[in-house]
Amino acid sequence: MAKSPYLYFEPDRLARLANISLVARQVVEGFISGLHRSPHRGFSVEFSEHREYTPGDDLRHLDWVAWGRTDRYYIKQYEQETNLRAYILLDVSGSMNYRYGAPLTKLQYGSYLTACLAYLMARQQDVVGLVAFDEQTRLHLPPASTPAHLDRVFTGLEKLTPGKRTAIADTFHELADRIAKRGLIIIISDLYDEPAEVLRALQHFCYKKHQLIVFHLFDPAELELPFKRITNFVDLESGEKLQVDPRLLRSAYQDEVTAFVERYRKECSDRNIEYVLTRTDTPYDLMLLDYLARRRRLVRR
Amino acid sequence: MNLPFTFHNWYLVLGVLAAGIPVLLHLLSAVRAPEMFFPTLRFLKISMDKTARRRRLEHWLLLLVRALLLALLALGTAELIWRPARGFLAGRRFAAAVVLDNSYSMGVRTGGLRRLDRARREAAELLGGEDQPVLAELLLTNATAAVGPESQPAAGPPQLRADLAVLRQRLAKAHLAPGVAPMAERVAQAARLLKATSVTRRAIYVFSDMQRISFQNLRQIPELKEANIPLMLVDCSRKVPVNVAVVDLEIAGERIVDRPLTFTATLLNSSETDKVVNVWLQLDGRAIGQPIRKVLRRAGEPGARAVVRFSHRFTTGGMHTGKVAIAEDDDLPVDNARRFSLYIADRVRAVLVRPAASAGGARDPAAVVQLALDPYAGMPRPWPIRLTTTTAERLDAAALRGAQVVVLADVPSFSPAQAQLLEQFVRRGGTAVFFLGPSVRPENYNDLFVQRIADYGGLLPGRIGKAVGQVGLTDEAVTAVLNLRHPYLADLYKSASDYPQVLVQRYFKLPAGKPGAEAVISAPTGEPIVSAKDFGRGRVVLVATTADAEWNTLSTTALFLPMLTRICLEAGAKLGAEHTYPAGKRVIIRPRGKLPARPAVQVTLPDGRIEPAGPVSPRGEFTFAKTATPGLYRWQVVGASPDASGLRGAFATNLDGIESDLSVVTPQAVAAALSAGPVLAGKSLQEVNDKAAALAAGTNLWAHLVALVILLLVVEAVVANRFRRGAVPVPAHLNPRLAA
Repeated sequence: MAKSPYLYFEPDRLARLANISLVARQVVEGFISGLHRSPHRGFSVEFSEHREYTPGDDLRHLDWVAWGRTDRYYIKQYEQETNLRAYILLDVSGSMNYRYGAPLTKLQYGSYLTACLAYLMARQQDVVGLVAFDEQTRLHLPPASTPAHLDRVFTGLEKLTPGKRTAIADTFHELADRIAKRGLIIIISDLYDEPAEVLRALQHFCYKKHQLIVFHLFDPAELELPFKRITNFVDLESGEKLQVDPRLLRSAYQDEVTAFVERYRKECSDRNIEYVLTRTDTPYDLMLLDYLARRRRLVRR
Repeated sequence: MNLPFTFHNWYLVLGVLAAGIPVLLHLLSAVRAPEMFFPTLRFLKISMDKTARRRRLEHWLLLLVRALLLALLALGTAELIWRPARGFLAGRRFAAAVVLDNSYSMGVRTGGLRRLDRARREAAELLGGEDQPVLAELLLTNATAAVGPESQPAAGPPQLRADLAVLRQRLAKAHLAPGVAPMAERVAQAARLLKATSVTRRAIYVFSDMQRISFQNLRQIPELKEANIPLMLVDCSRKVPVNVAVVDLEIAGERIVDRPLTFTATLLNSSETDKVVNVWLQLDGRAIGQPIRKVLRRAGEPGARAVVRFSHRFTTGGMHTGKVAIAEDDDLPVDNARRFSLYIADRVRAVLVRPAASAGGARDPAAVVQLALDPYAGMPRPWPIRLTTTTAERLDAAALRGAQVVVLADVPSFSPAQAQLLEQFVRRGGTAVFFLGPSVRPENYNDLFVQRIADYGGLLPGRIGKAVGQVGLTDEAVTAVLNLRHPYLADLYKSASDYPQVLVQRYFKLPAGKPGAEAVISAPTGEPIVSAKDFGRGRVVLVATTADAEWNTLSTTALFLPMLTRICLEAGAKLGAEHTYPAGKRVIIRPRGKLPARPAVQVTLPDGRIEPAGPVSPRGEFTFAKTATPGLYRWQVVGASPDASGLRGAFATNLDGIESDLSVVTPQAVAAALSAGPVLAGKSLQEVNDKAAALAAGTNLWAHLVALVILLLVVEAVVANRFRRGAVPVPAHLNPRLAA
């Protein structure tokens, strides 16, 4: 396979995902025929199922093969495919520029993940947009599915640099207002903002009938606090310093992080938001493969 | 400071400093904390707030526990011993033999206190403290009846007694006494005493300065081993003393007026550093000449011992006293001087008896002898011989009165009375010199001086035979054989080849090899030419040839004068004497002159006390035993006139020079020499008792184990802060597994 000209686009990794599609859990409206279930059942391209003929049905949809087999009359039903409209919201605040226990910073990981998702959706003729934000929007690429758009997405990712402070809730509220049509909102962030505010913002998206997937990114060190000696920790965004003996705090810290994660997990679950706790020491392609496979099983039920 | 506790291993108390290690590590860790960027401090802050109190408590508690643990372990290793009672045998019946070293080295003063005083105090604590023995005995190393009250004589034979008050009194009166402390004897004596008792617990306490010479004869003591009696050595010395001593003094030369005497003093430095001293000779209270400056190396080095020499001629006879002393003071002043008392004899009175018909002149043998005996012919020159002459006819008691030597030059014969006079003269200590010349009648000599005198084989060294040889030196003259080892001829020249040759032509034959006779000059045939013998308290010299050049060349050689002079000085030196004795020895006082009826002698001791001497003996001698204190003792016959010089005198006593060797022996060496039960040593009674108590508790290994634990804990603390690489367990809820 030829080498990718893009930093965050790795075709060899995406080969794992060749047969996996990002299937929307909910049916959304769209204008490009795609793979996504439309809420409207009708006579469209893809055969879905049979039903018995009743007088008055259109005989064009009679399934003559089934009549030949069963000597009974059946009408074919079709699922109307619609296109998926997706937004990938990538957090580029200062806290995303952290790496300790993994080979990539959270921002790099998120960028790879973004590129991968964008490609998948474009491949299945979904339209995908990209918004990079910290305390304000740094990059806004409206959804499209053309190769040129994909190029803009990949190039845009490469130019992203870690920003300043985090203001997730405000940004989400603003985006929720701006995005008119309902679609799929994929959030890739460490969500280091006030949880109540962030959840309220996510609720805003839900109110707008969007489907949300939250990839909650953590470096393993943020979860485990593996440090062995007294350390002066410096906040990546504010520069504030704090001297801590991690050995004495580890248990309490993990409890706090757990509570933080669990709160998001529960609240997202309550709001029907897909929540994926993502460790940056897990290869993004494997993580995605696992996630999409689970998601597909859930959708096909 | 009397603390209510002690440690078995004081040096391990330093381990308490290990308690500071956790604190130090914590401080170092905090100070050198690295900086690390972190996405958010949110959770850290919350965690810190929530755990602040607990962490603080844990932190300080952990620090305290670790520090306390290390400190307690260190104290445990050092074996803290709490002492509710003071003796290791507290509350138990035990018997003790106390050996107190009261040799003169215990007089060393440090910190204002003598070693003996320190020893007495420690011993008193044992005999009068809370935990006294039920039975005890006090043995002084230097206590003999002959020494006198300065060092307490024992009240009867040693025995363990219950009345310790008696022992305490004796202890309080114990004084320094001369002599090397016979520690081996005393310890053996103590062991025998204790072995015989039925009290099962017993110990020997030795209070000493551990002077090496005191312990030099230490050997295995069976009683110690059999009864397993511990030997408790209380070292009462505090520091190596500064001491330079005069350990020996030799006085060489004839103790006669106008004769040179050489005073050779040996110095010994026992100090840890080199010392420079100035040494004086004092005589009769006056310093003689200039002091001699000497540099002595420190103890143990070559040069720690040195010799100084003084020379002096006494111009007056009689009793003279003096000392060789070091001008500088030190920790043991008693050995800084060695005293002496000398009786210097006046000039030797010699009487020359010549034949009546002697002509004088160079051919007159008597004249030649006279010239040799009085070369200055009465001129005022320092000459030790005062010569008078007489003739053979006038030889009587008056002529010999006061004389020490009589020289009979070619006297033809003697009357029986004269022969008896001469016999008595010699018997009482005089010296008679017979020159046999041409006038001599041998048969008269043989009859009176050989045959009629049975004692000692006669007065003469042998019967006089015929004269042989021709008068006038010819080729037949024989070369005499000189006995260069004889005192009359010895050391006159550097080597034998320097001695002049003596030719003898004519001489009277004397028998060779007579018992008691000493050949001074002999003929080649072995026949004596000059021989001497002792007779009674005196001496007889027989010259078988005359002082005539026709008979021999003896009188013309440089041997003649010194030979005669030595014969006379030998006689005179008997009067001169040295009255110097070792301290502590019994002295015999022999007054000269006529004693009054019921004579008594008083002795003034060096400290000014006056003590009577013992009763007079049939021989007119007195004994005096209270000589423990080194110094000058003056005696006089009670009631004697001041003019009676023979009835007053002086003597000096000095310490044995070996007592000034202050080198010490180690307890380990003592233990090795005894090869017996436990030997415990310490600087105080308390210390040895504590060691004994610890020993009684059995072998304690846990101190070593605890020391190892402390080491391991320190290593753990270091490793925990520096090298721990343990895996941090990840909670499952923070580590989602991939389903695929």
